Amino acid sequence: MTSSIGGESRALSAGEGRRVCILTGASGVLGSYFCTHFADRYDIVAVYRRNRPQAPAQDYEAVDPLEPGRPLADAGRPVFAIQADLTAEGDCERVVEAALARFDRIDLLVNAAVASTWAPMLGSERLLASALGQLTTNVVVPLQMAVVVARAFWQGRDEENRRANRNVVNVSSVAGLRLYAGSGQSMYAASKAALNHLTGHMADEFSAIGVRVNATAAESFPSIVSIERAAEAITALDTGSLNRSIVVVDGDRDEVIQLETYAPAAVR
Amino acid sequence: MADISIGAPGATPSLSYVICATPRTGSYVLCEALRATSVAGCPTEYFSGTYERYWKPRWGVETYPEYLARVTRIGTTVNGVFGVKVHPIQFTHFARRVSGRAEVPMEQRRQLVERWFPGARYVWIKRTDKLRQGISYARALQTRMWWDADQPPAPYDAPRPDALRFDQALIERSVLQMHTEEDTWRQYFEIHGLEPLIVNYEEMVDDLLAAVRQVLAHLDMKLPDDFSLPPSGFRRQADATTEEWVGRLKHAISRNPALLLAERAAAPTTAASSPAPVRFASDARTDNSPSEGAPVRPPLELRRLLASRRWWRCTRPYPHVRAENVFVPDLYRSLEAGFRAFVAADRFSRDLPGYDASALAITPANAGPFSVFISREWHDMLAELFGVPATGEVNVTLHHHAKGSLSGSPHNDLNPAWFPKPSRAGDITVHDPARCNYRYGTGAGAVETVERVRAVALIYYLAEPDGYAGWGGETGLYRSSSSPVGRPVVAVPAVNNSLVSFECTPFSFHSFVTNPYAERNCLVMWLHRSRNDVIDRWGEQSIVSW
Repeated sequence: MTSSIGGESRALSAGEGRRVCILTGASGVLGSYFCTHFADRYDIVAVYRRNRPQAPAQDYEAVDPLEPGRPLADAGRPVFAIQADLTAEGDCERVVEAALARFDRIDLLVNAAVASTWAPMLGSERLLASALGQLTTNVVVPLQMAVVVARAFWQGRDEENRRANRNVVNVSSVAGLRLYAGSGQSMYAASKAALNHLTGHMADEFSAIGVRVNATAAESFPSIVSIERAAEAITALDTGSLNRSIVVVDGDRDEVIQLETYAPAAVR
Repeated sequence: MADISIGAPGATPSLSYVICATPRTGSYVLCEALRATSVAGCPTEYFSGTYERYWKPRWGVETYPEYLARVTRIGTTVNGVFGVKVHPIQFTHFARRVSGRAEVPMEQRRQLVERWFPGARYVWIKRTDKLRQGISYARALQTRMWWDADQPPAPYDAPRPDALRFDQALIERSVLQMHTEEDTWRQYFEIHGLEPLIVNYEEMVDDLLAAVRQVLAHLDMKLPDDFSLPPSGFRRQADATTEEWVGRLKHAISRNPALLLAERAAAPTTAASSPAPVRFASDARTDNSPSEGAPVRPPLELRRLLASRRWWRCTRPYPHVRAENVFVPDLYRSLEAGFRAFVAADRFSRDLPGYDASALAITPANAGPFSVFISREWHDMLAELFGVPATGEVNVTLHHHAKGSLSGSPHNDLNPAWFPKPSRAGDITVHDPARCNYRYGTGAGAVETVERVRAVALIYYLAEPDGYAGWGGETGLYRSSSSPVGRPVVAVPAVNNSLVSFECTPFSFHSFVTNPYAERNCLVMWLHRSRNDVIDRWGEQSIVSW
């Protein structure tokens, strides 16, 4: 299926033509797919917390256990993998510094790290116990990463950012737009709704430095929509020109929700 | 032998016997028939925790000795014969209750039996067809219908016949559990040099009275020639559904040889002194021609068992290999079921000094689906992966860390190891604690031993509770032995069906990291190399003595 959100690419082609992308949540389903399928298009800084992304990296090389001496035909380009706990003090800064030291620039930030605990409000302690952690990972960390990247590299490069079509993609969820009753998603959904709204505000403020900000909100993958589609929505946003939008990946065709700005009459 | 007259309960036992059973072997039917003789005690599951919990308050007894005293009275016929039927898990319960200890090694259990039932004799009831036994067990688990009887012989939960459904994974787990529980009894008899009377289920079904006479003969008693058994209160539960499930499972086996468990399930068991040889699915003959001489094991065909040919060579903090999704789903399911069956049968023991885990050695006698790890193909694959001149000896052990197990401390595994000398060059020699002490080479008797040094370590994670990977129980990799255990350079999460492996060198520091939220289970194995090889490479001082 072709995404309806592509638009004309204005990406800066530098070096070997690959854009530099910081990807959080790199060991998740979506993150792993991104690492293994888009490494030819991006120099990926793959940030993971616990589980290692199953992709070649600077210290991680594929090998066939039955024929270890034979190079793999489809070995793939390595990502630059960094283990970090982005909720810990200083780790966002460390990741951004390492990315810049390695690649000299950052074109795309994909906030795909997620914390998800589904539990009922009543009759379980799990929801309360996980509430703050979900908010932190799903809302605060994307904010922090974007701000750190902006301060470390994007600020003062407004025109360069626009020419390079630099942007942020926050990986949200349809749970932030719809109420799935009886699923125990309350806190997860609330955090994704917050991320959607944060995306709008971030787009508003980052327009001053020439950086676009959007979000994807996919249905469950791979059960309802394919991982390919969820991942391609990210690359389509990166190469396109949308701003302050949420791309809903569901049904037969992606839908774009434009986040409108609003000002009270007295201010207008 | 003397003819025995009818007796009445209430006497003190002068002769005791234990019926060692596994589930679904017709042991209740045998007990019922033995009770009907009125001279063979009143055997039933007195050592079961459920039985104890049910009857203690009704009898008004508080302590376990009081309970056992009551049981002894009830279970003894007037001629002084006491009988009890025990499953392995109940035997463990009995050992714990009598000793007051959480862990009672198999070596010490007989003396506990002797304390209460001196001179006890043993009857081992076994079922040859493990597939049908497993199906019967799975059905009973689902429906809670352990008997079809007018008067259920033990406390039971409300039946739920509607829960019956074909569940291949449950059946596989059940079959493995039956094997494992039977192995527990085999181990008990071997350790204590006991020669039980073996009653075969299939033969007993054909002639119950003959089985009863066998048991009485084992107890030096004889029934009158004209003795006949009253009609049994138990009705046969196997039906067309059982046969349908047998057919479905056999069909699944024929389509997927990776079902090692199922293949083993179809193989007949052998006598206690000669455990069934480990067979691989790929060994299965496709015709009915008799084999000639010693069986020749064809290649294992690892290609068919590996789910992915994409493993990962990693360099930090030292070279190691990692892989996820290691085996095809059917094999992984069998491995997990096998692990669970060993746990259910209480086969693990805490005999790893300084290591907060319980363990069970995998040997050819108990390997089942774990046979893949003791195969020549697996050995050679690992040796080639690391370029190590491995010598054919392997140690394969299952580890179980209970929730909250203590972290270890970084160590490199470059330790010496002892094995019986292989009888033929090229053989894989599997560590067996019953044959040779791994650390010191003792206990091998007249068998010649050989000293090796660990060459490659491998940790394969399985049977982990869902959702806890990365939340403790990792394998930490470190730069030095003095690194803080809680701050590894790399923490390998315990993801089911994944592995980490490395060459044992003076620098391969690693450790188990505590698991605060959930149990952690794995298989650990080592390949070995010659001592001279290690000395040539790193010097003699590099070998870490025990």
